[in-house]
Amino acid sequence: VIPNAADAAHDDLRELIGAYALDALAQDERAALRAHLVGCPGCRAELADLRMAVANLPLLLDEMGPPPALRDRLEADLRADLAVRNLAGRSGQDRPAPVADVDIDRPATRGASPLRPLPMPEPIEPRPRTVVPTPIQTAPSKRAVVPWAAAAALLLVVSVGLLLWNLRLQDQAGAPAGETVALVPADAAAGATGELRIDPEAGLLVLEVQDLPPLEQGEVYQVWLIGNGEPEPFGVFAAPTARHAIAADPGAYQTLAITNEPGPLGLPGPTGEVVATVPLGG
Amino acid sequence: VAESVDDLQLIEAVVRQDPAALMALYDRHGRLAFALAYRILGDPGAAEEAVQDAFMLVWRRAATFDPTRGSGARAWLTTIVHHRAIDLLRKRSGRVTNQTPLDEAEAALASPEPWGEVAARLDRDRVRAAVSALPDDQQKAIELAYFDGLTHREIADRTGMPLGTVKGRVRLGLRKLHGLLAEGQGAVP
Repeated sequence: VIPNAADAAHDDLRELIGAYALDALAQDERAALRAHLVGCPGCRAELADLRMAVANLPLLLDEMGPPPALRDRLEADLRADLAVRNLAGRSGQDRPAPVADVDIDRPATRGASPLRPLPMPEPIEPRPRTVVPTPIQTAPSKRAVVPWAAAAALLLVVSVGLLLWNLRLQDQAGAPAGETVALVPADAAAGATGELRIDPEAGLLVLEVQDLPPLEQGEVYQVWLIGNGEPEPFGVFAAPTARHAIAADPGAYQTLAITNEPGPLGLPGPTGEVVATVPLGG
Repeated sequence: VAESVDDLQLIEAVVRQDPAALMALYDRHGRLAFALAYRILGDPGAAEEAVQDAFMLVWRRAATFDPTRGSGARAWLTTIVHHRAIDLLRKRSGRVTNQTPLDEAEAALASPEPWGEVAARLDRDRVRAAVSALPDDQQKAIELAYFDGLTHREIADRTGMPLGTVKGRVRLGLRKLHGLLAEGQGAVP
């Protein structure tokens, strides 16, 4: 026979199950109920029932189309995540595998970020005529662990070589075709040079810049791609001479632009001075 | 996305780290996920953040989804979206009463819940009819908690109802809702 005190405590906790299922408990109550649930099959069964009800509450809403840019960002983050896992050598999966037997594949190359400075140990003068993936680095990187909360807003960091390698795994494509377009510096950036190599097949743009005008304290260079709508942010960097990979479908945009924006994350829309542009030819 | 591919196959593909499978889940459930996040947060930018975080959690933790015990994929996804949106809402408003890590929600979701198949089949009209059938006070308490992100104490403060009454209404309302939704669903154990 359960003593009365325990009975009463049980009843008190059981009263919380509805709020718990709705995520409407304070932390302490939540912890108390969780501890109770471990040893109380009856309460667990009730919780399962109430959760069934709660799980259907979203159906009270009419569906809403999220902005297309959200899909792009999600897709880019997935690719970046795969690249980071590979970088860390701890993916736990052999490799990105297509869905067997089903046709859910779609051209998965349109997306924002990832953008990241390549390590640049060597000077750029002997620029290669084609973008060759850098050798796959197997050494663990301190960048391997990236907090996702930051990555959602920020832009994940992967090296061009690894990104290309990763895309290659998925696409099984040959050497990247593509064209190179020269950077057009703005008047305020007269000394800047650079180029953009466009690889439509891999859905990749490789941006090289030299001697961009110095940043103000706290600023970053932010990359935008401009198609038919608002400019879309594609990542930030801080070095005046740098090389970056951008995962995006070049056919969807007419222009790449670089502006100065507040760091460290940049902004959702451009506000700063345009430093340089690159025509993509649409 | 081929209609013949079910959510379970997609989740299995996500476990194999196929990004196209996660995007297919997004294409299928993203509209409901966004509607939910937007309803809770009232701000498209924050709603996008919640949805993106939630889908990335699904991406990383799809292996913890147990189709034999767990909820349907739609319910799983929207539960994660809900938790993330509530968390953002409470952080934004400076209420720190219930900031639980997303992973904790996920752990909770891994517990046995033998109603998944049923939940997955329930359609909009049926759910709306069932909720409408609840007494107004129960309906209101559930909505304040679920869609406005209020804790039961906050509901008591806002409505002037005693805390015990709020607890009771929320619990009774959900029990009744479960009963209505389960009614006539043969698969309910």
